[in-house]
Amino acid sequence: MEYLKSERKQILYSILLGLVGGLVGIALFGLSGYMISLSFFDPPFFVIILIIAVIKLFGMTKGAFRYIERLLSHEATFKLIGRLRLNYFRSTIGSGQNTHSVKFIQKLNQYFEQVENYYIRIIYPYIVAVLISLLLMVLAIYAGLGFAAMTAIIALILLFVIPKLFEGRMSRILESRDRTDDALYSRFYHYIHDYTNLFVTGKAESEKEKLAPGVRKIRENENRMAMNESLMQFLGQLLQLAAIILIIVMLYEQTPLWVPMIMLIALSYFDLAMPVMNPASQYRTVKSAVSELELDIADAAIPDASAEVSAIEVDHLDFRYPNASLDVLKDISLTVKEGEKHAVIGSSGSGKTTLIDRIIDGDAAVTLYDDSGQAIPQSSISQVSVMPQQLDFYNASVMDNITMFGHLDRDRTAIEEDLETFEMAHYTPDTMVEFTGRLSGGEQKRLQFIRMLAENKDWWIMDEPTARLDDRLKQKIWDHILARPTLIVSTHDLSRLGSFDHIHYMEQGEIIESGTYEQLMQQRGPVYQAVQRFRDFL
Amino acid sequence: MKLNMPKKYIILYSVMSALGVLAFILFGHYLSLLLSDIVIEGEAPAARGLVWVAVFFFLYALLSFIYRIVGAGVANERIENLTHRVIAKIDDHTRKHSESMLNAIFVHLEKYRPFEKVFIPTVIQTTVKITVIIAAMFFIHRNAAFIMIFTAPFVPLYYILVGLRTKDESEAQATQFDELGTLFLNLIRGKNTVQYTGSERTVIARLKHYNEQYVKDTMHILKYAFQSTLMLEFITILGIGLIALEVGLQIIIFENITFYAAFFTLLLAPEFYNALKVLGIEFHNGKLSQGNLERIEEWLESESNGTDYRNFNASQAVSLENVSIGYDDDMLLENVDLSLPDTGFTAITGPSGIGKSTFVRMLLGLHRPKNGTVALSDGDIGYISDEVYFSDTTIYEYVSDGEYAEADVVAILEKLGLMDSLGNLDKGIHAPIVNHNIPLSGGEIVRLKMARVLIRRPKIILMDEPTEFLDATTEEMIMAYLAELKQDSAIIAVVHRRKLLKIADHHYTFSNGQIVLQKGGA
Repeated sequence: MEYLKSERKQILYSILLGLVGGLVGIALFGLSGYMISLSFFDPPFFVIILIIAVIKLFGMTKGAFRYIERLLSHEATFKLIGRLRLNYFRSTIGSGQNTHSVKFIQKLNQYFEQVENYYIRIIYPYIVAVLISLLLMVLAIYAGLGFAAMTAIIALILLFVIPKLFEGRMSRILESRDRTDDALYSRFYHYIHDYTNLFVTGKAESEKEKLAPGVRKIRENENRMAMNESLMQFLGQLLQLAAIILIIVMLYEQTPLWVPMIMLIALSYFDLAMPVMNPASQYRTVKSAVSELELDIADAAIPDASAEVSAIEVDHLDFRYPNASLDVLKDISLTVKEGEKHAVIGSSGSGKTTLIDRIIDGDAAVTLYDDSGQAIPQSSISQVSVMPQQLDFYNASVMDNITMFGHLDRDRTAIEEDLETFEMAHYTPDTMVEFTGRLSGGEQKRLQFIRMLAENKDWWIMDEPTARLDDRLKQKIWDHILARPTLIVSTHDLSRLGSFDHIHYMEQGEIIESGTYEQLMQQRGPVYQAVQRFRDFL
Repeated sequence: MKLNMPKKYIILYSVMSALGVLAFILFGHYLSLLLSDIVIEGEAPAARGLVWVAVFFFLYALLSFIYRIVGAGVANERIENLTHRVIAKIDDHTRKHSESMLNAIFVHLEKYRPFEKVFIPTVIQTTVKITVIIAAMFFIHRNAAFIMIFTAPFVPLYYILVGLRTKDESEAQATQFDELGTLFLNLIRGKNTVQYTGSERTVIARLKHYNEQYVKDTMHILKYAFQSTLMLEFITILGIGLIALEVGLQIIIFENITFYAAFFTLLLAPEFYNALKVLGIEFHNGKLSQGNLERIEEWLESESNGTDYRNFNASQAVSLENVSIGYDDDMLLENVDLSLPDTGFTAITGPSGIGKSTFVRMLLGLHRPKNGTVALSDGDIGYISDEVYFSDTTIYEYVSDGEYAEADVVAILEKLGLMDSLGNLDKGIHAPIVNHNIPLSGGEIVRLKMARVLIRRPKIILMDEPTEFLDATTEEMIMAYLAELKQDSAIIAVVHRRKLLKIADHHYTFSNGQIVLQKGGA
């Protein structure tokens, strides 16, 4: 709630307006009820006209209040969400958290939707409903203390007891729904990615059938959810019935003329309060989602402009992924100095990508040095242009994607020329990159490449820069890459291996051979064999 | 807006709604009688009257309860079926768009659910309610019925005059709304690149700017949406006020209305106008949900493979007659006849993009030819692809695929010279493969893929030549094994390197839409 600070005024106003609007709405029905009772006892004509005028006026005001209230409360909520997003982004950017999984992003999206619900559907209407109940209780004293007590009990059951009763069940259903979703998600992922093999071995159908129980479970969960929601409404309506009977029985003797009025007030009160029950019962679950996002960050440190990198040293690097039982990298040592071109080759799964990622993302065994030989912080990696395996693009124009929203200084014509050079002239700087998934692998590589040209740094670290491109583009890209003074490139494409100063051959997470091209060719070891094999391609 | 729901459900919903409204009207009837006794006659409420009030209200509540459950049940069942229809569209191309497929199932379908669960039942319920209330008003207080009939059209009229414009506008804005949200999410996802390029400050400033824009734009949409609600509210108030005024005048000046009719009218009037208002609001929500349905339908409309086009009665391993394959207008092979023998190694070469992989996929049953017949000698085909997908599994599970005993797995692994290195792993062949991290060399992975296929001893083996780095020993070993295997099976391989041609019995090249036998083969 501390996030509400700067919107406090708007929220206060919107609650006040909600309260007044609600009361006016209820008064509206009350008055019309009173009007009929009164009319049958010959009141002065102008009284009735006055009451009708007031009813209309009330109605208009109620509408207007509600309009302003909704505008205010929504604006406050959206501002709040905007700030939450900004804070969330600030704190994630500094963390080492892996944010690439689709599932993670989907969850985050869900959480943000829940925040919106939290304020607009849970908090405001609930506060308004509670305040209105309190006021009605006070007014009910006019009709006797017993009646006031009854009002209080009904409001308590409606707004507190019933939601509380269902809170546990609701949160269990939502949790079980979450678990079902997670399990089904991995099954789907597996089915989609292994489809070709499953089809060929004739298992696609049976594997598809294994998805059915999960899908059915979602339905059962939704049904249970609907059952609970409906049950809550049903209980609310039974309470309403009790109120109707009690109003008649308690009030007909002393104040018969009030009965129609109070009856209509009660009906209108239930209309207002019943929709609050269901969201209120989900309070616990939503609250926990909201706290996931309300990260407490004082001021996540964004590194200041960093020093130029003049050397990178990897010193006895071992690495294993969390939960894995084996090291993916074993005792890797390697030093790259300014002006040197290094190539890392080896089969898939040999650890090349992991090694490149470790250098880029930092590791205790990886040290960066400036030109005076001083170790400098990992954040200096921003002085190096990188092409990791996982590339990132954003829902924005090609221009914004390449210049990182204006961070890099590159003019339109240059970008247009680059697009032309790399055979992507079907994109202009203004083309919107709509959905990262729609860019093909080759297009992503080329856009990242253009981004690196815009960065115009001396150091380039790249993972498979020419994969998924045709031969002509490959050679064009190699020309650009090899024009850079300092390189660390992992590649399967050995067509330009001779242009590198140092070559490292990886196998099962180890560098098993290193040296210059000439040395290695003489040695006739694994690198020599790989080159022969590469030449043998048709 | 179309209620895309089978007629039987629409009828069921209408009947249930009608029963519910009837119960409410009867409740109103008895309540009005009861109050008339209290207010006008000054009598105590009759016990029988109270019972009727209670019975009909209870009935009304019960029917609403059942209606909700039935509505949700039907919707959830239909969503489940829809999910299965989407799943049926998964094929060997889907993994390239796996994100979009997963979104369709886990996001768009969920956002569409309220349309079936809430929107359709509510629309039917309110429509029935409006009709029944007007009909009932003719018996209770005719003038009020006329007022209802005259004021009701203002709601659709308002939508036609003002609402439609706002609708378009709000839809355009809603797309943008989505995009801004997505930008934030993909900035989170792509935070690494922000870090690598050192552009944190620029991006944060931009995100802040977008956020402000977002609030502004959103408020702009909401202003329209709320204005519509405000107008609906005004029309409602106007209607209720008119009815109250008319009832008031009737009581005092004309003195020709009973208390019963007056109260009953004022009880039903808000129900009527609220129903109208709900219709208007739901219209808007319905539109938004339908956008999600469109995303799902994109998947449903995609072509699926359909039934197997191959037959398995060929006397030779492969027998093609007059086969053409291609994508849309782009033909790769035209009217090809080809027979491949039951044993022996057939090498296929040709530049990339000429259709070699599509040809293999056609033999596998994954790419329907434009015309011609595809006949194979056996349905049991082994396929060694040049890609590999290891889900969370173990080497044993991967090779046995749930069908072979440990001894069989060990035997084939031994034959391929893999047991030595696998024996070094912590848990041997039961070592888990997590996150696609394979503790093996490229040559070992190739042999593992082969082991998985060869353990089944298929009659026909299709393979894309592995382009992995292999050492000379491994390569010799694999070639020797293939040479032995080709004595009993037909091996058809897309070959990238000359070396493999040494063991080829036939060598075909793709050119000009034909498969041409090379002299160099055999």
